[in-house]
Amino acid sequence: MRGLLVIAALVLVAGRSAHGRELVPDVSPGIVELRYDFAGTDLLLFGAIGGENRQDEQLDIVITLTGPKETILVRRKARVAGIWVNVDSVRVADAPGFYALAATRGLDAIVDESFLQEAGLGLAHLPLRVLDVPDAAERAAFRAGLTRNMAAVDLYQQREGGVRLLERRLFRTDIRLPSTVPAGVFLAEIRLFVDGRLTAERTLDIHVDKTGFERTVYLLATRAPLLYGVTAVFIALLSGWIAGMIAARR
Amino acid sequence: MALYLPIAEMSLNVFLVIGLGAVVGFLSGMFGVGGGFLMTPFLIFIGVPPTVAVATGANLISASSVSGAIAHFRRGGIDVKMGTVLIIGGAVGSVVGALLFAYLKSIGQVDLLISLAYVVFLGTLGILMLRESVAALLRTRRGSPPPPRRRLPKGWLRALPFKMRFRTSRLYISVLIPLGVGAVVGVLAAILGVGGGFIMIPAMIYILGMPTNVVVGTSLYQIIFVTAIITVLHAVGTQSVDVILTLLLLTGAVIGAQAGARYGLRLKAEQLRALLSLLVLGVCVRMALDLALEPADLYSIAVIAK
Repeated sequence: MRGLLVIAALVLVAGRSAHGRELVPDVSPGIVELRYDFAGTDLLLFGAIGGENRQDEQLDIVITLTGPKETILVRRKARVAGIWVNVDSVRVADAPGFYALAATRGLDAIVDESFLQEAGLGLAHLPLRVLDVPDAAERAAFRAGLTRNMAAVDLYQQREGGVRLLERRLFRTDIRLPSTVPAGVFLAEIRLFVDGRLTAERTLDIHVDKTGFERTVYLLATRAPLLYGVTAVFIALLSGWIAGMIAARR
Repeated sequence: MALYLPIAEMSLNVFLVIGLGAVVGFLSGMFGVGGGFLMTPFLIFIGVPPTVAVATGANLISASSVSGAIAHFRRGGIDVKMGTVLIIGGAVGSVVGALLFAYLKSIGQVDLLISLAYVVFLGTLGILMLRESVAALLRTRRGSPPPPRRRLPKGWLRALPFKMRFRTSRLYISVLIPLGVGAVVGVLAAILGVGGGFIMIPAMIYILGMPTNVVVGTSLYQIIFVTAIITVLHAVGTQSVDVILTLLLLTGAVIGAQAGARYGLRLKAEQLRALLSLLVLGVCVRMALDLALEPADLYSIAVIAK
């Protein structure tokens, strides 16, 4: 990794942008396989900041990792006849199945609020589309319900202070993918802010795929559910029969 | 060691899952019951989505009933004709149950249905069993003889048309009775992820009037087919059968059932029933509390499109 960074730094010195800053990011691993023993994994996002390096400038890195878009139904419970029952539900479109933000400092210290809003940066500004609700306060309540639920299972994360800068040249952060992470193409966006101005921006694709046996099981279950159901019964009967024979012999 | 379950879309510790299978297997071996009505709630308690718990529970019961059914068949302990009629009724009932299940899932109420059904089912069962076993324990202490077996009146049932002869059970009754019994148990089995032996066996004795030597075998025979149908229906309707979870639970259940059967021999039948009724009531109370206590977050989410 160190060798890679050195090469990256050399390339950067050669090909400097008009702002005098460049980003060379990378990610490890670039492909995540959801196998039978997948219990979550850490992604290492790292890279180099190239170009002139003036000590009087404030450098900040903001990294986001966004999973595939989903439509999510948010339900709200209320007490009906003494028990808690789902009474309202709202569809939220364009919700990422995974979202993590890591930054060198608090977002509000790095850049002003209007920028965050425009770029859809941070959990509070995710460009979610709350459908079917005209009332703004209700929309906000359902939106908060969604982000809270996703954050509770680590599918939404925001770690301000989670990016480390080394020598004002190298940056790195770990992003935890929980075991429930959805499969799909993830987009990592790395932004460099110099004195609160967006100066350089790069993106990377990360593939999260169900592989091997699990993928076969999942695909069969969703694409050929009848065949899957019949197979599940067959497997159950066969293994129940074998288990019974083993138990009888002992 | 964590294992990723592709249908439940979550990781569970392998030893927790096998251990759960073993505990339920032990209890079912000790009490001589199928155990589906304990397995599904326990799966829900460890965080498996209720739909996956029910559908996988049905799949597991097919597996764990096979060897028992084969043993009873060899002994001639199965009324195949009666069992087949019960299966036809059960197929109709399980289609109704699975359709209701899929519909309620689509409107977000299936978890409520499962919880409510379990609270009512386990509550009723637990109280009946507790009353019966306490009465039996008191009788044995006083040394008085057991009361005569009570047969339910069958007046209007005897008047039903479409009579059929069941030679193995030595019965000549309307085919509508076993069809109806099968259908009711089928609906419950589809919603609860249970085999339904708990209702089927008393129904066979008290409503159909079957002789006790074919009751258990015939019940197992029909459970295999009805839970197989339910597994396929849930696989198609809600895609919630996790066959990997089934195999893990089965592994534990086989080991646990043997130990449980040996341990159960040391206790008296009335004591066993009293213990089982307390366990059933405990699970019922836990489920009821989950419904009655204010949840930590009133909002919940479900992915509807990827």
